[in-house]
Amino acid sequence: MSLKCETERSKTWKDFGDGVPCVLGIDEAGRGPVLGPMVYAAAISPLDQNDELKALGVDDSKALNEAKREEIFEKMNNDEEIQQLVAYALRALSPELISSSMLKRQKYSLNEVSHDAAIALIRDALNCNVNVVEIKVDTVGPKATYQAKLEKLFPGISICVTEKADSLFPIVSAASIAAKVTRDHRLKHWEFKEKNVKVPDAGFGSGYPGDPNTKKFLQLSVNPVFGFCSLVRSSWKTASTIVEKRCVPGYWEDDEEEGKPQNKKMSGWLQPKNAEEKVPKRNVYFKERSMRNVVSL
Amino acid sequence: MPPKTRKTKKEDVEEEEAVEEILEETKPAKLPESDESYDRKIVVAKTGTLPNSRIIKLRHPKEGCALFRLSDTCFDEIIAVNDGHRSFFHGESVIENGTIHLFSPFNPVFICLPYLQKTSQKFVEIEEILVDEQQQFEAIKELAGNEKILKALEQVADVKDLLDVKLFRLNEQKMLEWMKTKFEALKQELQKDAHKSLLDCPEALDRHVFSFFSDFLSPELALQVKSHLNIQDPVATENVDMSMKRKSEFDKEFEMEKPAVKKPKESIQAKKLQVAAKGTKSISAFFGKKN
Repeated sequence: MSLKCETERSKTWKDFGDGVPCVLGIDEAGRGPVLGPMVYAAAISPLDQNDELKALGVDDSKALNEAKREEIFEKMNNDEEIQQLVAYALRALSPELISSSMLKRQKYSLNEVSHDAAIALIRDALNCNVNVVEIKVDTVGPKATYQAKLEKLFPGISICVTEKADSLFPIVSAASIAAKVTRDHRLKHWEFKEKNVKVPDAGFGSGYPGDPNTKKFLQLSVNPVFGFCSLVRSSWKTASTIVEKRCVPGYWEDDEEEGKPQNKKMSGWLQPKNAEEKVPKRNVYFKERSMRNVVSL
Repeated sequence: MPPKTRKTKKEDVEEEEAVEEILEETKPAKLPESDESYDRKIVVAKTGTLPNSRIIKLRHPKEGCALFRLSDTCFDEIIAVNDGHRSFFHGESVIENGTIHLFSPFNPVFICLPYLQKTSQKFVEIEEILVDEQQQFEAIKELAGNEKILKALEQVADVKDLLDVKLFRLNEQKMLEWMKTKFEALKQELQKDAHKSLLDCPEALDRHVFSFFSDFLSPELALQVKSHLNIQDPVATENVDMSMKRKSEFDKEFEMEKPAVKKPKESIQAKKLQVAAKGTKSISAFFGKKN
């Protein structure tokens, strides 16, 4: 997974319905957890087939359980008729990608990460000749700003950004199902790229910070020198707190600039208190190169 | 850590509580024991010269004291290089202290000069010249037994052979001429890396070179040499003491004519670049003097 994010498309996404006017819905899964990827999904369906879409049972994703979601997703992937009714595309952001985005020098918030994922999905649909006429998106951050941003990027398309979009629009619900099932599956079947990651007997849980199994996993698996494995979103406060308390203290050049308190142990630099034991103050040439005389080795 | 926004407040609260518990439950990890036998010092010295070397503490000609390496063929000052955040990977482990010790060639004549100056009135045996009243600097006497060093001293001193015993007396004229040749040699080297503005102005270049050269001289000797080399102090721009001067009508008029200095509004782009550049080195740092 790592730092690259590719768009994954279902079988009928490209050239969907030979250009039939569609509604596109976007939803995400896995924003809150400290473990695993965050998955963005876009689902498309012909405008005039709203009833058929509802019949699929995508109505209210919150009312759906895991089994029902998997059932619907399975149909989306294998039933030819259903594949003519709805297609989807995904962008899965790995924990490493999420963390590194949020820890950049120039602020790149989780909201902006989300917006960019959604925008990439819409662009992909258009590039794949999907005739997108309407877009329905669940709110991320301030509603009006997000809507304006999307309207500016995609003029001529009717855009609606709203809360609880997955309850209001079946197409968003379909996207939500694709995102959730994919995320759950990728978390459950995670393959550690690191060797010998310590996992508790009960597993690493749901990935939510409040889940005791997840917390246990975090505390057990953290390496005092190298921190967390790539399953963990190290930028999350839950994770960084554990690093602060449990790992070897670290000093960063940045901390000096940001005025954070330092506890630098510069071994080998102790100047003896005896005045006659002092080394000479050297020319700037030496200072620039961090060079100095010594009185002991 | 950059602020995060959450979908729901519930998730926020959940994380806060989780963090609280973690703060209570988590203890620092037990660290592995250090293997003392792994301790190493990294040294850079001329190939093959380390055997039969002595590391001695001497008075540094400029001030204070320092470690030097003395052998039959070498005399170096020991310079520690470390910008503070360095370690070495070695084998399957780490050497915490990333200091590199450079054995940097140092002309022993500079070390001996202060001692020669003390006895400059008469011819004296080298063993009585290179001696220090303070016990911590007694190692200076080891230079007296070094043939190479004794030969070098003839550049700045007169020698008298008396019954198989060599006597030395500082020769000021010789010393000053010797200083000049050293200074010129240093100038040749520093010129290679000097900034254009220094190369354009001979006096400034001389000042720059002399500033480096002073590291090898006591403050008094530095003044003497400075005068001999005719190093000019920088020309100060008109230093009028404004504090005592009462403002004349002319001054006031002049003041009013000066336009108010407006600070140009920084574009958002420029501000963004500044923020992005925070903590990074300026580009000129990469084009600085070669190490």
